[in-house]
Amino acid sequence: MTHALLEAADLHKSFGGDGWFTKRQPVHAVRGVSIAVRPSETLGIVGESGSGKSTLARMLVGLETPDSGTIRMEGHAVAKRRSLDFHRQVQFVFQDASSALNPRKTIRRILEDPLNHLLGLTRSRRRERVEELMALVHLRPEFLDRYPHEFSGGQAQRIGIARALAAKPRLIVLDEPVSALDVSIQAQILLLLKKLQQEFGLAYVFISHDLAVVETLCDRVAVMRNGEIVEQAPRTTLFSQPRHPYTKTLLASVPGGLADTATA
Amino acid sequence: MTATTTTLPAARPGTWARFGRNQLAVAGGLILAAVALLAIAAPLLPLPDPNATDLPNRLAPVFSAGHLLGADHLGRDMLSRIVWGTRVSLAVGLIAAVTAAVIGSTIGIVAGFCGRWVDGVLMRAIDMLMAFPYLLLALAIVAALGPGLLNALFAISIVNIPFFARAVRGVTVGLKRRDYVAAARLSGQGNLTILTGEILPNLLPVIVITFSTTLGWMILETAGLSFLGLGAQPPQADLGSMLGEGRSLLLVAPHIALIPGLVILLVVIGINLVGDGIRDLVDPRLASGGLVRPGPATAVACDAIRQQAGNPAAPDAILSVRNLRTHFLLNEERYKAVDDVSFDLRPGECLGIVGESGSGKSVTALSLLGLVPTPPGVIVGGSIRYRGQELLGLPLPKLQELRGNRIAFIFQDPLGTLNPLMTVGEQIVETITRHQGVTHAEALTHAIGLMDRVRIPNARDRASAYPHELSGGQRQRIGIAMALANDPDIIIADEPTTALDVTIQAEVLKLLQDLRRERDTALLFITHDFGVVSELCDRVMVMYAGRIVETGTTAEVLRDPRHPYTRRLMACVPVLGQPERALDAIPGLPPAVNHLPPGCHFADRCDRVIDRCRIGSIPLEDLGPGRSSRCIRAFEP
Repeated sequence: MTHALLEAADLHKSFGGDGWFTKRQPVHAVRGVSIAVRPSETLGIVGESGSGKSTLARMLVGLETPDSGTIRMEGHAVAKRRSLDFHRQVQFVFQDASSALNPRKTIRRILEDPLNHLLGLTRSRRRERVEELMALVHLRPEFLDRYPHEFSGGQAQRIGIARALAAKPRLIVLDEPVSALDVSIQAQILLLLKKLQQEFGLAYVFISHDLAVVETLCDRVAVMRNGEIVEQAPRTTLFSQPRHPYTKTLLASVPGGLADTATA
Repeated sequence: MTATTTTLPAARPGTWARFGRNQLAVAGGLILAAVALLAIAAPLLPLPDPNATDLPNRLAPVFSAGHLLGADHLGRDMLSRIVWGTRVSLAVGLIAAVTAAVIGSTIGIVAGFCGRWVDGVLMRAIDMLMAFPYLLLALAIVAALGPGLLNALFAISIVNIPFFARAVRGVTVGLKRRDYVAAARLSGQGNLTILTGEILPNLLPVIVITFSTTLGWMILETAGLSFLGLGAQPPQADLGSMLGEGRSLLLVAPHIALIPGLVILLVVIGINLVGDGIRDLVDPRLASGGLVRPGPATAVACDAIRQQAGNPAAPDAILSVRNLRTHFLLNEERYKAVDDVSFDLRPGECLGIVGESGSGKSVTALSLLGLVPTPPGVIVGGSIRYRGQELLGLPLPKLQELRGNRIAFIFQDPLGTLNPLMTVGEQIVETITRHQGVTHAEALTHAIGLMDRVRIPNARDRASAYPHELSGGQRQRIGIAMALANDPDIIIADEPTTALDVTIQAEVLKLLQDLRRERDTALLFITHDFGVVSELCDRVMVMYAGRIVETGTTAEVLRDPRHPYTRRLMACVPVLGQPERALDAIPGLPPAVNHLPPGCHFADRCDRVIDRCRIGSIPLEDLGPGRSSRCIRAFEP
């Protein structure tokens, strides 16, 4: 069997508990999580607020350091301080797109950052690539010299996706990328993600609390609760034959009258 | 299929234009510019040597020949000394401020960004600096270094470093946790690039505000040290030393002290006015009208009340809304948030309002009890009748009598609507005692009973909990308990489950459904989620860009949507259990409600659009009992 693209084994992370004068109980956000993403597949991670899914995502890309456990990229353990090469391969899309764009930088400068720091492209190559990226996410090149506050949530998320694509990564970790968006915009972004995956053979780790969205997009799904993965299975199995009682509760909780009335 | 987004919101008025509207700041700017211009031009002006003594003319009064502003005790020309002295004072104050800003901001950025022990060491050093009374510290520094302008400058810079360091450090700590800093790290940027490229530009407003508000202070301090003889040394003139020299002659020749005093006053007032103006411009909390306090009820434009409803209210309706129009007036733009909305609500019925953000669904709900903030919101037309009584134009006390009593609200974010300093039990009690003549003890018993009904475990104990001690689902139950407190006829729920986890949402929906059945309460339920609508609502109305585009019973609308927007909105929502169903996104964005296109508002995104769609205003077509669609092609298959 070939190596998984990115593999995490027995990750733990807790926060707090290190006051000078008081000993507070640390919050154990992630406890013993192991996952593996294969090339070109989408792994969905569903869970409710406080389940530790965002912390897991941030550990995968290197925004948080795990307390213990290992992360392997194609079989090689990655260093605590991620290398530039790691960032070239693994990128991240934030939940709140607008807050992930520096309000004082133009879109052009925001998109040029990874091209400059990760790929070391020349100025003229950067110019070309930035326009390519805008076309990929269906934004007009005139928008490049505007500032983030001029964009709606959906447009800002496209820019976030363009930035993640800039260094031609193989894996993108998406932390609730559509949950702040209106449903008509959400569908645009989901279709865009599908298109980009087909075009570039990308692998996704897709974090969401929305089961229907995860079902539409993902090949395999892991269900998280209280920092642990309670069930992990291929999509069809998980949604048709959930085994863990919590997964069953989750599925039963979705208000779903539309499922039997919609004929579209 | 490709969704090339085209529209961008209109830009806000430019920074300079907004500064220009602040008349005080402009006045301050003019004063400052005049003084600064004189000081800069001093060497070019035909002024006598400020240090040339002319003893025969000593203490010459103002307007005497050859000495426009008189002469001092050595016969030196006051006008010349004032201009040169202002030049010195401004320069010293400015250089001291820049030095303090650069050193203080650097300390603040480094402490805030590095955190841990670096932060501890630097900020404790700053605390020590602040522990001395600033004037004593400045005096001590000058005493150690010896009197002189340069040493006074050092002293003032050092004394003012803490102001910059503390302000900048506080903001840096917040900025470094921003998502865009994380994004910069993932883009391969190192600490130094992040500091200079991501954090520093966002700190500039803070530095500018601190600078503009402390500059005047620093010029005063320079003058103070010179006044005490520790700054400018004779014969050099600066405003403080001139004031000091004039002090002993105050009774004989008051103009010698008065003139530098006036100049100091002018300069400091000018700087402070400009500083306040700049702060109002750059401070984000003030930029969005944070200083304007909305009134207790939405303003109703007077012609709104007289406008009579077109078709009469349904006889059995408890709430009947006709042609409601709520607009927002912002920066000379009119935003038609709600335009021509009509509906009836019957007892025990659940009516859903579905729409995306900006469709006007929340503003519709808030308008019913005058809860839209004014400014900028104004109800400009229509009629709202509750049990036959017109609510628009109702005096505030009568409106307050209805609010939370006969008509109750449940909001989306219970944490934002509950008072964090009051126990949840007390908040329910407050709602009860406001409308019912009962004692506190009776109200508390009632409150605990309500908490039991919304299934909060250990209600008696939890009544003394504060909102932050409850989970999100429990907080929303408290919100529901408050809404139920006075046994209302109508509950208006604005996305009450959107912020909740799906398992909690299911429980809250079930609770609302049970309560409605038990008490025959009418429910106006606002949501963007068709799944929730199908579970709860009898009838649904779909809103788009401020207007109702479709109404009907939930079953009919979901089975056979007759407006293209409804149909496409349903098609772009992934449905659990149908992963193979192709998602069909709606291209583009909803139109801005301050620049609505003529004709159908959805025309630009519609796949069935024809030329006729873009002409005139499209009426809500009647499609049978309780069913309507604002589409000229609604009858076509």
